[in-house]
Amino acid sequence: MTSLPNTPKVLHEASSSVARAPAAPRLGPLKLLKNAYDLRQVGLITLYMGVLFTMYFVPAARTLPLLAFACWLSFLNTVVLHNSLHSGPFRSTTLNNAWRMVLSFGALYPASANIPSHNLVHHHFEDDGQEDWAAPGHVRFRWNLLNLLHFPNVAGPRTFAGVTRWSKLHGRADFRGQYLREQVFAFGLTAVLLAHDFWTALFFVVIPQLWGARGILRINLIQHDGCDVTSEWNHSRNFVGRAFNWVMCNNGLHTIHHNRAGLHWSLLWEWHDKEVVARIDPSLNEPSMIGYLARTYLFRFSRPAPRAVAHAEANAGGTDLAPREVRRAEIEAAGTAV
Amino acid sequence: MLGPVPYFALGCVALFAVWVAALLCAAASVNTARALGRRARALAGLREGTVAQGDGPGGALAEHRVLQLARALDAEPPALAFSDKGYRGEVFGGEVQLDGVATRLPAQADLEVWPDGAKQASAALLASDSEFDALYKDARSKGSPRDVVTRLLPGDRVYFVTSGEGEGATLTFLSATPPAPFLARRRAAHLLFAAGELAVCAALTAVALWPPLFGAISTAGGVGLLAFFLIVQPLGVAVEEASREPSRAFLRGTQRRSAPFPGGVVPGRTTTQVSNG
Repeated sequence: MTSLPNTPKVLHEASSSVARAPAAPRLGPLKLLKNAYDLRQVGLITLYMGVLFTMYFVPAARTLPLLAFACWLSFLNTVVLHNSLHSGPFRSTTLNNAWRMVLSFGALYPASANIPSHNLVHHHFEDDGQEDWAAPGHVRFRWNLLNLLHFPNVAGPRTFAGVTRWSKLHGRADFRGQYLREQVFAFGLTAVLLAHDFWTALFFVVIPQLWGARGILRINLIQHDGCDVTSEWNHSRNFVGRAFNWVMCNNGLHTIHHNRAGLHWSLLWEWHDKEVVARIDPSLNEPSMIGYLARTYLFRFSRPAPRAVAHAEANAGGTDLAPREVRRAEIEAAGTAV
Repeated sequence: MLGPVPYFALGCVALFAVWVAALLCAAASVNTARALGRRARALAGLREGTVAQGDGPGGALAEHRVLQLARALDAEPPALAFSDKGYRGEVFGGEVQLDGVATRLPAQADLEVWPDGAKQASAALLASDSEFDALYKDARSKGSPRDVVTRLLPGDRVYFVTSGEGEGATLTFLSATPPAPFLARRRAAHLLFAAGELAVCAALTAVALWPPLFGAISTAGGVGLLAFFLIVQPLGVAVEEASREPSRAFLRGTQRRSAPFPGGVVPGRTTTQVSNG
C-alpha cells in the first residue's frame, strides 16, 4: 500500500548525494535520541525553559531583550512541538510523552492536539468533508493585516473544539489520557506560577507562551492563503532561506512536509529539491518570510486574489506519492504513537 | 533598555493585546451581522405559500440532505457521534398555493434549501436499536455514512424567491422556515455579542486600572482580562457557527443505544448505507 519513506529505517537515512542533507552524526552518547539532529530541538527547548524560569525567578533578568528572545524561543517551541508530534525525538515512549508535557507548558496548549488538528485534518485540508479547522477562509476582513491578526482568534477555538470531538471517538483512550496529562501539566504549572506571582507570570511566562501558540496558528494562514489546497504540489507556500530554515528546523519547506509527513525534518531539503521544485509554481517559493509578510500584510491593504498555481505540476512526471486518503489513513492508524 | 522593564509598560502592552483581540472579535461579528443584513435584503422578493403537491418521493416538493459519517464513541451503552460531510438541496418540482392560486415551481437539482429545524432533528434520530446496530460496526473503523433527509411535503408552509416570472421563472431560494426572523435573530446575536464583549472588556479594564496599579483589585482585573482573552475567542466562534444558514448549519449530534449489545457482542460488519430518505 505504501512506498512512503516513513518507516523508521528510511526516516533516518541520509542521502549522500544531496549536499543539503548531510549524513546524521553518529549518535555516540546521545542514544536517547532517534536522530542526532534532534539535539538542536532539545537545545532550543532547554534554552527556552531556562529563559522563562530565569525571568520568573530573577528580577534582574526581566529585561526587554530577554522577553523578546523568550517570545522568539516560544515560537520555536511550537515548531519543535510540531516536529515532535510527527516524529517523537526520543526512542523511549515514556520520554516522548514527558517531552510533550514540557512542550505543552511552553506553548500553553496540549501538544497532542497536533495529532488530530495538524497531522490528520490540516495535512489533508479537510475534516471528513468539512473545512480544515485552520483554513485561511475562516477570516474575511478586507484589510488583510486584520486577517493575520485575527486568525488565531478563530483557528484556535475551532481547533480545540475539533480535537475534543475527535478525542471522544472509539479507540482514543490512550490519546485522551496523554491529552489530559498534558493539560494538567501545562495549565497546572502555569496556574501555580500565576498564583505565586500573577503579574510576573503573566508578563514573563504567559505572554511568551501565547506569542508562540498564536504565531504557529498564523503560520497556517501565511503558508496556505492564496494557494490551491486541492492540488497535490501547489497547496503550500515555502520559505526557502537557508539561515531561516536552519533555525526553523526546515519548517519553511512546507510542501514536501505536507506530502511526506513522515520524513524527518533534517531530510526535507533533499526531498524538496527532488520532488517539489519541478512541480511548484515558482511564486510559492518565497526567499524571505519577512519580505513576504511586509509585502502581503503591511504594504498593501487588500487580500491578494488567489492565482492559478496548480498548472505548474501538470507537466511534471509522476511520483510514488500515495493519495491523500491513504496518507490520512496511515496517520490515523498510527494513533498517538509518533 | 537593558534594565528590568517597568511592569506599567508591560501592562500597557498586555492591555493593548487584549483590546486588539476584543476589537477584532467585535469587528468580525459586526461584519457577519452586515452580511446577514445584506442576505435579508436580497430576499426582498420572498413569497410565502403552501405546498399543494410535489413530484418527489411521497409527494415532496423538495428535500434537504445532510451527508453524515457515524463514528463510534467510547461509551456504555454504545453511542455514535455524527459528523457532517456535506449539505445538499434539491427541488423535485411541484405546485404551491399562493394566495389561493396554484403556482408551478420547476425542478432544480442543486438549490439552497432551508429545512425545518424540528423536522430535521426528528429525521436525524435513529428509530431503533437495529438501525443503530447497522451503523455501529463500520463506525468503529472507517465510519458509516448516512444521509439525514428532510422533505418539504404537501401542507408545509414554504418561503421562496424566484428570478423572472411565469413559465421562465427560476427558483433561487426555498425554505421551510421563515428566513427573515432567523436572519434578524442571528444578526441581533452578533451585534449583541460585539457590544457585550466590548462592554465586559471595558469593565475589566477599569478594574485592572484601579489604583494602586498591581494591587489586589487591579490584580483581580488582570485575572479577569486574562480569562476574558481566553474566553472571548471561542464565544465569537460559537456565535459565528450558530449563524450558519439552515441549509449548511451543523447537524452533527450523538445517539446512544437503548441498552448494551446483548451478550456484549458487537453487531456484524455492514456496508449498507443507511438513509431515512
